[in-house]
Amino acid sequence: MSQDLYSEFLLEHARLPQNNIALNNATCTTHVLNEGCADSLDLYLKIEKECVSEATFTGTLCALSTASSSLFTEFLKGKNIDELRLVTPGSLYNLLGVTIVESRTRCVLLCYEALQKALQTCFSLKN
Amino acid sequence: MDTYYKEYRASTHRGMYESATRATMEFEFARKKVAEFIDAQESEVIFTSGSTAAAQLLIATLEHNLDLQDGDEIIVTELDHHATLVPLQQLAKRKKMILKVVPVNEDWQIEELVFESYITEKTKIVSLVHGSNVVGTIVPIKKLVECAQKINAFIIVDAAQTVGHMPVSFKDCNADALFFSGHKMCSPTGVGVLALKEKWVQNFVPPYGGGGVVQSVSKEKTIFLETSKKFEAGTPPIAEVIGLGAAIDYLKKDNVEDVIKHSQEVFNYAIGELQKISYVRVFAGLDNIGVFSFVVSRVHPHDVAYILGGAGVAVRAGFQCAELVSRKISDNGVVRVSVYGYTTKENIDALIEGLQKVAQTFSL
Repeated sequence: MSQDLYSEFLLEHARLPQNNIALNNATCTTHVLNEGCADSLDLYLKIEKECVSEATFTGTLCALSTASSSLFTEFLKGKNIDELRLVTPGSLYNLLGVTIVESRTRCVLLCYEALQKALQTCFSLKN
Repeated sequence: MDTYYKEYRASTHRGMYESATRATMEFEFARKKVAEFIDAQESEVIFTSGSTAAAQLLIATLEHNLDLQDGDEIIVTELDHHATLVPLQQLAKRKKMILKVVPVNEDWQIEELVFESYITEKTKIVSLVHGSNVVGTIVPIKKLVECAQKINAFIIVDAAQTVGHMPVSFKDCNADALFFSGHKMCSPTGVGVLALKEKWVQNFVPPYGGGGVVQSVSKEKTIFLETSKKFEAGTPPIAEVIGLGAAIDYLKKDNVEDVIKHSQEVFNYAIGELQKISYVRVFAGLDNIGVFSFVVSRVHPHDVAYILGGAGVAVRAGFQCAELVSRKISDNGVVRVSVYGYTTKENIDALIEGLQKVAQTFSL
């Protein structure tokens, strides 16, 4: 049962993640930590003309966290600030395509938490 | 515990009614059992809610009672659990003391000569782990205590992994304080013990006030009890303490020596089987309490533990609340296996099968 979580689709993203690189010219960088396992993630966003032109991540992450961040950074590209504010955990779950068990929600939502932090720290003044 | 809740559920050391008298009697009987089990005096046994609470209580007590000056030193080891490491690190910051960390050698052991080289005239507190919760190393505490006593440092022994897993004598190891949790030795959660040498019990002022710890209280002052109860402010975990006493009865009946023999057999089997697997690296102290860690090549410990969990194997992934030693193995943490009297070779076979699932999932 537990292996259902590791779909071929997610494993492929874990093995060859998209956007898994630090972004030197990012306009917003946030760091989040999963206290449960001490994994950490840095989310890099480049905002141009109120839109995400680039989104990348780095970190010490498990396979699910890596796959989730890979898909999520792809998903964020092209979104404007208002659209970013409407992103929910559900948006991310839809991208993953599998049911996430309670014990792994923090793993897959770490990148979502990084986005929330970015919205608070980088974009709050533009509200 | 069940009998306590059904037949004599009452607070200890207070009421004059029958259930209260019985609760006190059973609670104090558990203290006697603990004292005998760890070769301490009853007057040296302080009940807490666990090892971490015992360590916090002890370190707060030391801060209140020892003469700790700028530049004085605290010695810990890389094997230390966060339960002691973190509060001692905070104490060092508050008091502007220097925290020194004794490294482990390549066999995950604390070498006597290396340890000795860290001790100076300024050393005031020394923390030692009796058994590592990551690599299982049994540290030769008696020798290290002797070494630290040359300069009269206060010596703390974290025996959370060893009490109930091997014979432990508070008297023989001669440390100033030793603590352990009940839940690692068949007892319920929420109970632990701090053993504090009689002379410190008498001389130290407790850091926390409250009910059950005083002789008298006036507007001007409080006179504390002279017994170890002065460190047990408030209502103690009565049912859990009684449960700890029952766990000791159980272990004594089964004989700790038999538990050790069985654990060692299963431990050796596990190490032997895991070392046959090319994608697994095992990390274990040579003289071992029955605990080891491993990592799987290119797979995060959390993914390993999750798949093993699905296969019915209960292991822990991460830094094990002992980040110093865990990071020596891997920056991603480790997967930790604990073997005890109830662990069977079949359990280890299930672990090996689970690892095959990990290999299958991640194409190892």
